[in-house]
Amino acid sequence: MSIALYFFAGLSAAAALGVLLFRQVLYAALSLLACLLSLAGLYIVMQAEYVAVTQIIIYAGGILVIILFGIMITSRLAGKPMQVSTQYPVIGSLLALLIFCALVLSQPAVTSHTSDFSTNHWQRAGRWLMTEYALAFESAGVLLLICLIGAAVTAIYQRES
Amino acid sequence: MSPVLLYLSFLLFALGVLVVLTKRDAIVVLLGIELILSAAILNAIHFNQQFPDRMDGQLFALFIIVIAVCEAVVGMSIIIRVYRYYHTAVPDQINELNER
Amino acid sequence: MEVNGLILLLPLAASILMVTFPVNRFPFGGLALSVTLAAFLLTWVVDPGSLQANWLQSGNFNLPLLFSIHDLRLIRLIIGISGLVQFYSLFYLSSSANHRSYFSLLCFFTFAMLGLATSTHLLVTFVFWELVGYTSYRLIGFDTTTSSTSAALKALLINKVGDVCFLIGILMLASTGLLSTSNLAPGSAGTLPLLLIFVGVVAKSAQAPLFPWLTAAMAGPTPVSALLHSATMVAAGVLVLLRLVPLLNDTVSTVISFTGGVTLLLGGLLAIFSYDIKRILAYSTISQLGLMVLAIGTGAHASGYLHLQTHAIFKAGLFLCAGVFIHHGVISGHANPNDIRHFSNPNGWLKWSWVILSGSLVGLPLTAGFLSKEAILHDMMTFSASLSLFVWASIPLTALYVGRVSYFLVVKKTESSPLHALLLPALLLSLVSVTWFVAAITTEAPTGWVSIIISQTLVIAGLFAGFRLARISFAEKSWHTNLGLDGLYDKKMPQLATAWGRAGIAVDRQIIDRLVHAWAYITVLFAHLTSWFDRAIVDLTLVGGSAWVVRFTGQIVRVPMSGKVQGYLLWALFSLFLFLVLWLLL
Repeated sequence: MSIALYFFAGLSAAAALGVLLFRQVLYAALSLLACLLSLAGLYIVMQAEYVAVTQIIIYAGGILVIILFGIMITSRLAGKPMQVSTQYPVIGSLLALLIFCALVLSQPAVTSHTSDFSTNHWQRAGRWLMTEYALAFESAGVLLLICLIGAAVTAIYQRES
Repeated sequence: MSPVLLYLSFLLFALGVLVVLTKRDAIVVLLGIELILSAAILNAIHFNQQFPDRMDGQLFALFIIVIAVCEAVVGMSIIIRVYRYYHTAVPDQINELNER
Repeated sequence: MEVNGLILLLPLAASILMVTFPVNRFPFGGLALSVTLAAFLLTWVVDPGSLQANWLQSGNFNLPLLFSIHDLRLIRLIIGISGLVQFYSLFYLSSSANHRSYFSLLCFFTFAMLGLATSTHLLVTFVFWELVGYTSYRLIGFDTTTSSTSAALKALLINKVGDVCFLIGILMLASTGLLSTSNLAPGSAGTLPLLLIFVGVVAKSAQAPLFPWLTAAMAGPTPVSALLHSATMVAAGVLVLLRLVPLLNDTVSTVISFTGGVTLLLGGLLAIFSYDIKRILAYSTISQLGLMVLAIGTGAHASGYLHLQTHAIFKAGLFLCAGVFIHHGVISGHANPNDIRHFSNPNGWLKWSWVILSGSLVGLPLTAGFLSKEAILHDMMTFSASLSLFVWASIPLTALYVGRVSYFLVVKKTESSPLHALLLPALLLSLVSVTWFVAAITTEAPTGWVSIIISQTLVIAGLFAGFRLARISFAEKSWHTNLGLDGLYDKKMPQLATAWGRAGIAVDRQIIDRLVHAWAYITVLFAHLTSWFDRAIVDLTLVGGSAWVVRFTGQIVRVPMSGKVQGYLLWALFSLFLFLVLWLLL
């Protein structure tokens, strides 16, 4: 259990580092995919299977596909594989380091209780969604719809007149 | 439970911030934002482990994913649109906000 | 009341009518004479009273036209003598003279003199005082020869000295609210304003030392001399003095008395040594005016006023007689018609009227002059015996010059030319003089037989001495200059004025100009200073400094405003970090 956790944690950290370090945008996106998949594994270890599956389907299957499409479109418009350069390398890393340190210093004490695997998390999640979080669930649906329409309207190709 | 998950979320957040700050391409910036959101999701699930009989954290993570989807979709569409106008995805070169 | 105003307005209307009359050849003299006659007759119609009208009203300040038509005798005297002089002028004036302006001026004079004699408000009096002076100036220079013009100017200027003092005195009195002379509280004014007014009186009534203008004024036509410069106008000063009698204090009275006394003797002395009939009469006038002023100064103002009236009659008559002589001389073709040595007597009537009128002058009985002179003498003896010495000294003096002149005019042979209309006014005036005596001797008889006897003795002695004196001839040049006062006024005064003007110019150039330049320099210096202050302090330090501060802060503030989205994000995250730190510390 602990090994799986450390494995997925390490993998996701490495993949996140990859997002930072890859100069090719496509590689960075694929590295993010790896990061998200390993995080999904981590969620399963943390007994949040519902979230993990959602993560795989939506993030890995949805967002990443969209991003890849975006990369494809923009690199086609640019006519070459997309490279990315960096800016503020020193200040940015310093700031990130400082924030990391501040977060580490301010970390709360978390005591985790692991429930047994016999519990049907799917059922619980479904019940919670349909009872206490019904309104939020429906709102999320509406939000997604609006988002869909908005994205379509924004991205739709208009001939410049 | 070791604080490794917390450190992981901190690391993800810091890396996301770093990516957002330093990368000169809007799509990569979007990737960095995804990293930050992932840190948030990780934290939500992690904190939910304190209360085994409740599922608020996990469901929050779910909604965060939904928000992230929306964000990514809208962001991507904007990027594509901007790219059409300016023929670049480098945020620095889109300096409409700068003083003229 | 309307009739009262009409007396004043009739001559004025006639004067204006004559000036604006469209036709040049018109009997202006006849018009003037008829108007004057009408006014004269009106004096019997009026009911004595005061006449009041508002002239100016502004806030608290009120300038009323106040006239007192009480003293009808004086009014009749003025109008009557004016009428006689106008009648006389009809024959005296050459036909080539400008009758229109002459008679309009005479009418205007009548109006002004009446106003002066009746006004009871000092400011109004001053207005008429000036009008009278203006008329005098115009009439002296009526001949428009160089000498008469300069004489007119001289008269005007010397009178102006008095006028200015008079006005200042009036204004000083006005500050104490004593402008209306109808009811004056005794002794309520200061000394200085009264002295200033008296300077005006001295100038107008030809007292020492401001009398030379009167001898110069003889350059005017003889009827004008008779009317203005002996009978009426010169008496104006005395009239004003009479009004102010309640205000006089001891100092002022003493000054007035001595001025009058000195003038009395001086005029008499100067009259002795002249051969010009008009000058002699002018000196006589000066002397007699001095007598009146002396009388008023010592407190004998009633008798002084009486003498003013009798003097008006006999002096006007004497001038008119002299005019006949002069006229005769001019017709006979004398080079110097004014010289008494060349006079010849054209008519017996003239001789007798001269005798009566000059008798009135010296104060012989059966004449009006006797009444007034003896009255003055008596009053003076009562009030101030020491000052009456002036009068005592003047009696033989007057007799002396009258006797001397009369020797030339009366004792000489008489031609028997027909009675000329010119004689009529003089005859009438001598008749008035006698009638006055006859009418008044019962009511206003002088008392004090001793003084009468002594004075009459003195007069007789003086007359005989005068007859003797007439046979001695003088070189008159030293006396001709009015004791050197002419030189003073004609030469020294202009020199003084020129020197004063030069000194003024010098002061102007040396001091005022330099002050102005210095002030300008200081101003420029100050301007430089302020401009330096403006540039260095205000512009550079304050304005420029604040601009610099704003620019500097702007440059600092604009550093994060790079226009780069990620730059903004950097600052946002930096502030997030700061908040984290803050949260940690707290």
